[in-house]
Amino acid sequence: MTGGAPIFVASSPEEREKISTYLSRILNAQAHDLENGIYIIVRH
Amino acid sequence: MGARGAYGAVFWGAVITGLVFGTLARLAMLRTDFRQYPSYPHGYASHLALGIVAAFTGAVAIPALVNQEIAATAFLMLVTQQFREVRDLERKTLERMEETELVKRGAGYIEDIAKVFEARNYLTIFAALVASTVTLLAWKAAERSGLVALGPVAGAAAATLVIVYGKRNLDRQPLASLCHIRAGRVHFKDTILYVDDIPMEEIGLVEARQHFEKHGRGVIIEPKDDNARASLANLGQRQAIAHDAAAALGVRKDRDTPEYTPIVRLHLDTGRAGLALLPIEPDMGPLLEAVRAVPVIEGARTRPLATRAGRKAED
Repeated sequence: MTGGAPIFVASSPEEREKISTYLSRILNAQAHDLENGIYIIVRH
Repeated sequence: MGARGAYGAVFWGAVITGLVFGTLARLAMLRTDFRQYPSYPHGYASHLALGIVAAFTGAVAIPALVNQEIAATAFLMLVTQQFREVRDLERKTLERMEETELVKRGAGYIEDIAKVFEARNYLTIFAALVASTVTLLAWKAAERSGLVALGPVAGAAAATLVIVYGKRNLDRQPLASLCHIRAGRVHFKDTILYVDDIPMEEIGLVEARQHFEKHGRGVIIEPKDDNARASLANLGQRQAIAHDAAAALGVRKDRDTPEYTPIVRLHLDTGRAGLALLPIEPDMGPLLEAVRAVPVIEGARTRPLATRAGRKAED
């Protein structure tokens, strides 16, 4: 899997939520749910 | 008229009246309110000191000219030029402070504050000038009848008129004069945050949505006419609303949680705006008061109704 931004693969929705929370806090960014199973972390 | 070096009672009477009323003019426009501007006590002291210098400049100008002190007048012109820099300095200070604010003021609000600061200093100079000139003229006119006290009294009256008129016209309009402001309901449809029917933003994290459901407060801002709608659409104006609401009530956010920043978004069909925030103070009353008191940014104020096209399009 390749992309223009780093991709983190989570094994469950709970893990996805946890990784998104940590990343958004660390990066001072906002997590958005695309409702297709993917969250994007964006610094606005 | 006075010869060089003849600084009699007239001169000092005029200068002192000018200085006193110039300073009063500045004091009348100087108050630190919940917006924390000017910052207290040093910012306040600094504004007051500059106001006194401005008052002195205005007060001495005409009496110096009358006493044929051309050097003094030239010096005063120089001092007045310095006041042009004042707006720049104020803007730079506020821009540097932006980094330390959890909810930024935005460029529009900063520019407005700097512009107002400059205008208030000029009003101080003008009030002092009017006071000293009228005192001088009235004193000279009353000299023959011996009622020289008329001088300062007339100067005081004239300056008071300037202060009252200036304060009325230079005071910023509150948002309530342009818009109806009422409480709105904060809720989610799937992951999108709404205030009443206005979509605000998408909040991805479950924890963040729960935080909004527990602590979120919403305000609906409805413009009264097309002019108000244009002003409300301005990004600077909306950022000012977010900043002032956060300043008044606090915000449950830190620098690493940008989704908790107060947000103001427009309803694209009607031009209404919704404000969603997570205040530390939960009561709606103070929040509505704070939003009502937000100043209308001069730069945001456009008047489409003053144009023919705008009037034709008016609904």
